[in-house]
Amino acid sequence: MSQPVLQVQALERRFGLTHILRGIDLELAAGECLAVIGPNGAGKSTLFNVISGALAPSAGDVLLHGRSIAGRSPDAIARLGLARSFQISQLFEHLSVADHLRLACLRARGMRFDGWHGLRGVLAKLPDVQASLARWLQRLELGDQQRSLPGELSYAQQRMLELGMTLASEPQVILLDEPTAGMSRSETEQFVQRLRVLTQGRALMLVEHDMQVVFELADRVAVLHEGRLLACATPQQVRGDAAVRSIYLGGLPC
Amino acid sequence: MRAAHWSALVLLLAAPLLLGSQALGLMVQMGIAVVLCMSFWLLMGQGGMVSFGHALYSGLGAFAAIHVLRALGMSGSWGPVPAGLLLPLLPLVGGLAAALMAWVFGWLATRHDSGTAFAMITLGLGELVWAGAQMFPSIFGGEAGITANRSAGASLGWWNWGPVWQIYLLTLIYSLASAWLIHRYTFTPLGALLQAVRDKPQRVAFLGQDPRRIRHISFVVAGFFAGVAGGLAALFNEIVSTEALSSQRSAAVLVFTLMGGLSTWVGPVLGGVLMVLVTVVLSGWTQAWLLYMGLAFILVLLLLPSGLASGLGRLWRLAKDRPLVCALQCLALLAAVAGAGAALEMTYQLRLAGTVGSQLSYLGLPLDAHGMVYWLAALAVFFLGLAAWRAVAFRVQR
Repeated sequence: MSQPVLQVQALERRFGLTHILRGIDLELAAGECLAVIGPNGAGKSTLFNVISGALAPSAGDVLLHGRSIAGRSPDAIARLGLARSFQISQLFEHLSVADHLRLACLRARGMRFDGWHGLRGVLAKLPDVQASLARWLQRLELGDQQRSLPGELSYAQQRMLELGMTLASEPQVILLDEPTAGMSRSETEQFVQRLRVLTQGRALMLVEHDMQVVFELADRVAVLHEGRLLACATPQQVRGDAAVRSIYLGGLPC
Repeated sequence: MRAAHWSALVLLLAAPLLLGSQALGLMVQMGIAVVLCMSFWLLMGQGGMVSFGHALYSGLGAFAAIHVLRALGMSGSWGPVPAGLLLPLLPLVGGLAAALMAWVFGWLATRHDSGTAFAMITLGLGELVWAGAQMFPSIFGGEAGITANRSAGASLGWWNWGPVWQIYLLTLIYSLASAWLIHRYTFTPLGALLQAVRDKPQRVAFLGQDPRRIRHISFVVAGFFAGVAGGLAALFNEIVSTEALSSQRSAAVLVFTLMGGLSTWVGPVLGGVLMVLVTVVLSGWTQAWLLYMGLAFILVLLLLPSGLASGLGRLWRLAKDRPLVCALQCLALLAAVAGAGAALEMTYQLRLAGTVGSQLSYLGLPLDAHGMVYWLAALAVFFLGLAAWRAVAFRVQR
């Protein structure tokens, strides 16, 4: 088996005396989908925040393609090819749909604004950005809304745009924080179909409460409980695990 | 719309033929103020960075320009190039000097996502530089200022930059170019990123862009255009004093840009024009101009939170739909303002009554601050104006 794209090693995070993460070990292989589940307060969001650089780990390490990214700034981590989405859509209320995706495309084209060299690169790459923007508008089926502001979109479209912004930066590792939160059943089903196509071949890690989505998408499931990794196995194994069922899946018919 | 643009441009170009030198001087100052307000709008409106020290950059640009102008005036030329040919470049000198300072200070001010930290750091730096400038009168001229003569260098025949209309044309070119460039900037990827950083800096970071860098670059761009405005002001006034760096100047930029409105580029243009009308024209008419400015600012913030530009937009639509209503409302508003103005002027005159008497002339009318009838008339005009405004507005709503 090739080297995992993302490795989380003995990761700990404390807030004062409160231990949120107490030594998490996880691996994510290329093209794999790992779902992180657990009750509220289990540390799922904190885990995402530490991996994506919003928080620094108290101990332990995070490796992306074998390089340590622990404690780096979010923008540096994003440039190394890790992108994340948010549980509550983080859209820019004064920018159009096309502008959202364009900003995400900039990163994929390696555009940074660092001095004159950066500026020349930006000008040379603008047509390129325009082309990938058109591609993403089509893939996300937001072409008709490209001039709209986020406030004018339906909720499902906003979630799609949030996902699109994450994907359009063409990362190798994608973290999705409850991508289907708040959607109806039919919206969720459509969304999952789309997600499966769009993330084909990329390493995906998602936090999700909807077990149907988890079992449909995930190759492996990691169960967090009180900052510890309770289990990390295939969906079938997790479903059969007595400890997991007692704390989390209690009500789910098997 | 195209036709309107072109005719506006022709009118601006033909202004020297139509206006006297005094009115032309006002136009020059308006052009300068528009560039200054637009550079501030780029920071505050587009980037969400409320600077309390924006005069720093226009002031430093002005000092850089005036020192170079003095040097040119003394030597008459730079190598084989006559000074008259180099003079049009002085606003760029001001801009570059200001951009350099903005690069250094901006690095400090834009480190944090918090707008409060930015505001406080710019305030502190502004005070620091102002206090520092007082200590070096040889460079900053103290209160007397540094003077120069723009027509002193070797001239190009009759074109010696002395007459106001020659400086007007230079200012016109610089103002239009600067305003257009700032406007364009907001449509570039960098401009979109700046708006994104204003709304959600964290999200931008997760897209792989450093919010600090985006803010820093925009700060330098805004500083550059403020410096251009300062350089133009140095050329026009031929004097720069430490007042150009003062916090009052910074506050004026903030107040008038905000009064104009932040949502589109029209706001700062309006704000710049208004700045000159109030600080130059109104201050010549009445001693109470600061009071009017404060009142107008508060009223605009309360009644038109998105600025005068949006208010004018509404008025324009009303004028197209219902011209009669619009005319009535304007009349009512003017009456209310005139009435309030009369009352305020008489109040002001009361203070001076002991020395120069209680008589005053207001809009060509003789008033007496001790005469009850004048007070009643002023208040009546004010309240009737307000009532008429309300009545018309009420009818329109129904």
